[in-house]
Amino acid sequence: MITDFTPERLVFARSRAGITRTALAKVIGVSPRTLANYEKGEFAPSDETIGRLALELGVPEVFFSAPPISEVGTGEVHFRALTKMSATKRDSALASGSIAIELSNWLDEKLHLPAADVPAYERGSDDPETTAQRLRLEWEMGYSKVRNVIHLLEAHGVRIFSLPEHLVDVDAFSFWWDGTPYMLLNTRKSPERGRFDAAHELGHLVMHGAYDVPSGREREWEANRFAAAWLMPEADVLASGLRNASVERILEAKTRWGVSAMALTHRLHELGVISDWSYTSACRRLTQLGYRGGEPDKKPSPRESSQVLEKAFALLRQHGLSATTIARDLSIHPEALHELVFGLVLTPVAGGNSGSGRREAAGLTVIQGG
Amino acid sequence: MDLHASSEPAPLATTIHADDRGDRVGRLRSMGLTETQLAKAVQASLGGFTSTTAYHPKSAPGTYGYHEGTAGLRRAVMPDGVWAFDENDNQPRTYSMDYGISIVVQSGDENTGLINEYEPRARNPKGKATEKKVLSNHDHPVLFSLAPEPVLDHTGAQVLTNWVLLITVEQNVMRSELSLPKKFISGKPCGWVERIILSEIEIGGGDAALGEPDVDSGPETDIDVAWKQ
Repeated sequence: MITDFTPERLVFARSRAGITRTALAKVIGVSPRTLANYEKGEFAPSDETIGRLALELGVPEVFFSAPPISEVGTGEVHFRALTKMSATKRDSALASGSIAIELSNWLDEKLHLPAADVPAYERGSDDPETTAQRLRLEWEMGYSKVRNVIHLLEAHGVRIFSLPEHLVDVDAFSFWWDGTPYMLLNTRKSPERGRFDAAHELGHLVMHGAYDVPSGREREWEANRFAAAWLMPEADVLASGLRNASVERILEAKTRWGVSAMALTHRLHELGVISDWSYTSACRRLTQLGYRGGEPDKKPSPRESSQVLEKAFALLRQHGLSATTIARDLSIHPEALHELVFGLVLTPVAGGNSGSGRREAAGLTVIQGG
Repeated sequence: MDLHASSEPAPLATTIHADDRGDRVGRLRSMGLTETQLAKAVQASLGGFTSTTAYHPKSAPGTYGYHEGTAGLRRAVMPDGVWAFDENDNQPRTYSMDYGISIVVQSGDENTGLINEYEPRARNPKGKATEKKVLSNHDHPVLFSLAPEPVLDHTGAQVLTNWVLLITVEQNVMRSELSLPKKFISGKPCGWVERIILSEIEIGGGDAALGEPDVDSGPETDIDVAWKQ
């Protein structure tokens, strides 16, 4: 029996599932006006209707009686592909961000996690190249390779989570919430592209801060330039002996910076290390070899995972707290938790049954990126 | 570079604090220091070390590492309010009158941070100022646990114990130790009374030449996640 009904949670769950009001009303057998009234809090649905809503929206029934969730608004988020994204997809991604905040807060209550140490520079203080140099200096990185982007960001307090599978065409997004930087990454891309995405989002966090949204083409271009400069510092690239490098040499050299062949080729061209002609022919050749959409290397690079989540779940297990417990505390199905850490946690995360519901997950088992 | 050639067998009387030995945390606390502060200094040194490319002179990583290590140490301890720094006799030291100690950063040799039959040395010979300070450790009452009050010299100035933060990069590992010498041979502090061995930092690269790219190069990040009591 649901004693309290939180209308905001119904709106939230519907956004997250990416279902229109009309479509949902139809499936649960009420009129769109009735559903609108539930969402406005005019009156609460019956227990039976709540059961149907929970089933359709993939949340436990108790989800609707918990206090309102911290909702991330479109104005707060840097979306990489905002222009080509439907509003439904965008809202669904934002909902994942909100659950990420809830999970992060839950972990914060139990564990000491790294404090936020990401500068948010004043708008337009520097060009992306200089900003990348400045951040490397502040983080005392020198020109060294970023061995593991996710670990480095986590060490500086960025909370990193995974995007749900149905949002694979959202590359990644990031936002500040209560002074903490968050990133949701697509963990199904190639390791090199995943690293670049994370560096791109870092660019948004430091250059565009918590106030300079929504994104536009210019902001995206700036974040890309930041990512390239941060991963491949100009001075190091210039000294690397890649002048007029062949495609074979580029393929060999890309591991030095942990970037895709295309990203390195672009950077070499940007810095004048290879000529226009070499750049064009290298792009053509790389496309022929299948390097436009991924990195078909004989020896693929290792996928980056989360050190914070890995250690956090290990500690929670030691204290007898399973994924099911966390999910129950957050009033979500373990499956939703699974989605948030998919590809980031490589060891088994123990879990149990989630209770009733169509989307019941049979516990969280081995979680790996594709 | 004179590495093994100048290595002296480790003195038997050296007190060693390390990960699995002694009370490193407690010893550092008694000196007004934390492991985190020294780790920050070493991390800063690593930042300097990695601030070089194939175009830099070969000596640049060590030089930059020394400069940044010194600055990093000061950044880490100065906010405590009990530390100061100066550069008398061209010797950039960081010191605390409250704790009666002074620290200089030096590039160490391959034995730095290792507990073996050899004792570590600085990579490069030091001058008269360092010699004087190191030799003043020799008879310092603190070494004989006889100094409840600040020790003063004949001019009334406080005599500090002079520690060396040795930092080295060897085969993709950055090792460091905060150690107290009492001898000075061939221009280098030695005869360690006490060695506080700090945690290693794994790195890669360092070699700016492309040659065989190492996918794992770059400093490794170790994040502390702990249960809240």
